[in-house]
Amino acid sequence: MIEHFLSLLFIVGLMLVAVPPITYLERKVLGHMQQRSGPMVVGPHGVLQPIADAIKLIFKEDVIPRGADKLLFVFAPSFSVFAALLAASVVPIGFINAVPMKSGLLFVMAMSAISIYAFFLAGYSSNDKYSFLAGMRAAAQVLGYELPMGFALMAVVILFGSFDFNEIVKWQQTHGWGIFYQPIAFVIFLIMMVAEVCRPPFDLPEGESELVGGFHTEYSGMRFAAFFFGEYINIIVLSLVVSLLFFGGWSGPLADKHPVLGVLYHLLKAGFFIFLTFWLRATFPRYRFDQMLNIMWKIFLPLSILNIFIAAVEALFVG
Amino acid sequence: MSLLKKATFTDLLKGMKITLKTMFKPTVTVHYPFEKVPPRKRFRGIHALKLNPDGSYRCEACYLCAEMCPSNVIDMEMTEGKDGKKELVDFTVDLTRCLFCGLCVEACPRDAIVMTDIYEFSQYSIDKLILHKEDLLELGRYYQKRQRERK
Amino acid sequence: MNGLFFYLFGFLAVALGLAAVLQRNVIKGGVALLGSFVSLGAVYFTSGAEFIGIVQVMVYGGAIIVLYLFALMTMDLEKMKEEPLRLGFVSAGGFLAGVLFLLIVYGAMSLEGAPSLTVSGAKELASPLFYRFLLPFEVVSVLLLVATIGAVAVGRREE
Ligand code: SF4
Ligand code: SF4
Repeated sequence: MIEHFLSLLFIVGLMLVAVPPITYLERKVLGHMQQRSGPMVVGPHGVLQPIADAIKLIFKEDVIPRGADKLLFVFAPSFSVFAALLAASVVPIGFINAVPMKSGLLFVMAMSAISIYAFFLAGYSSNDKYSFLAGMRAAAQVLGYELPMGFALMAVVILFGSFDFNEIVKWQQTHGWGIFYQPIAFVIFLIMMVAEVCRPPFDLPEGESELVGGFHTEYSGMRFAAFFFGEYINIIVLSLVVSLLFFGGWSGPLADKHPVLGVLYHLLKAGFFIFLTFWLRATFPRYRFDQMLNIMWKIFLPLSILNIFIAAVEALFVG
Repeated sequence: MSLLKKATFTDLLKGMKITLKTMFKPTVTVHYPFEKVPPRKRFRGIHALKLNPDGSYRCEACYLCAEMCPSNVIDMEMTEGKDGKKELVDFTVDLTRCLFCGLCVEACPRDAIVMTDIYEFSQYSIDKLILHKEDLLELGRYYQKRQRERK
Repeated sequence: MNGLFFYLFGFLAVALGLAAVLQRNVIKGGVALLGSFVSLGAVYFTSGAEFIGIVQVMVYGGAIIVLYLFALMTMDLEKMKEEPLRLGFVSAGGFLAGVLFLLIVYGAMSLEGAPSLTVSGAKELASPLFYRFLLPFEVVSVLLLVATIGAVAVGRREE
């Protein structure tokens, strides 16, 4: 019991502590990819920038626009963090497993599915045309990515024969990494993951260039920060999940003798995917709304269904 | 062929390769408040009034610059001097309205009003942005020194 | 502990369900319905049916309510508020609700105590579905397919 509690504390702490440095790294990586140098002023090479940002956000005036739906307006940002942390709690990192759950993977999926309500409700309650449009876009986007993502996951679940993260890693330790069996599912899941956390090129609900700030146009101060906490925690969680499903999670040389090394491997693998989201952001322009729906519904959905058959055949042979 | 290209994300990967390469290139940022880009030789910054070598005002208060100015920036006051010539009492340049077109400089028959290369003139209060004769003459001294240095 | 949460979430589910019906603002009603569904999922959790609880949250919370809200947002909500109550609708709704209520009471009467749960994972749920009840399952899926195709045919614009 106490062990689970400590793990939970560790995971929640890790998620909350990791967000500021990740925002810093993101700005640095983005900057260098555009031949800029990113934050430079606060502290050596700007490392203290997140702290400065936090201070700024805490002391900002908290505005609730007139005509806004107060209850939902306050509820939306906290919901974003809440859903993300719930998803984080079931994901094991190495031997640290806060809530061991038979259907852990499904639980992460469910939490990510309802996390979109944060955007949706924020958009609706702000009483602002831009936010409203962003809310609609968020709803349409969830309908777009949820199905291919679910089907891609079903394919890997058929192969691994379990929803349990620990079982999945165990399977991969005996048979080899999941990506060698399911490259299509990997690609689909990766793309859907980017769509899910609303990062470029699928940042339609945010849409800085057309919708001002999208769903968070009217937010300020800590409520605004809460959305970003939710978004980044979601990125971390999904990166952890990708490395669990396709890259063997905490398996690696010497990992079974020193469990701490396993944690490190897992975090490193997840770190790569976090970097990948920055990389994609620096490289691609945003998809247009109809383009996004087209590729989701017309390409990835059939592809992911086809992939289930491939997975079934593989499961027959590999067992 | 094009289908294969799409299926393997060739174009997208190419783009990602370029961004990754760029990441390790040196940055081109000029860290502004610590480093500055030197202004070009003919850059039009804030105004200055030149002085004659003997220390008298070069401007003879002919109002041509004020006439020429499209946004009514320049104003001046004058009296009759001892030798019967017009003499400048005050010369104001309202930087809040100036668009730095340089027409006043073109208009001046005596080459009295000139533009320096100073572009950092933000102030906390708006009345500090209205330059008076003393400020302009001070700037003129700076301008002439700089002009000599350049030669 | 589990029992406490069972009653807590059960109460929440009922209260939010009531709020969903009584709320004049449709979007808020939709949100209350979402809350009700999620607490229902939590009720499943507390009684040990983890898998069903998650699927409940995912399907109802993640997909169906999004569709509802999406459709509601595209409609003119101000107009709907002014619409008067029609006796026909109210009586039809009341009749259906009454029948449903009686059914539930009947179901509750015929239960002896709390059901013992054996359905907790995906496997336990899937094997009876795909072996014992294969025929009804397939018939229902064909029915759903027919409904989908019908909806597309009705909804498609004439060329
Ligand atoms: S630069 Fe142009 S706008 Fe400014 S004072 Fe001279 S004439 Fe007027
Ligand atoms: S045009 Fe030249 S000389 Fe005439 S008032 Fe202006 S600055 Fe003085």
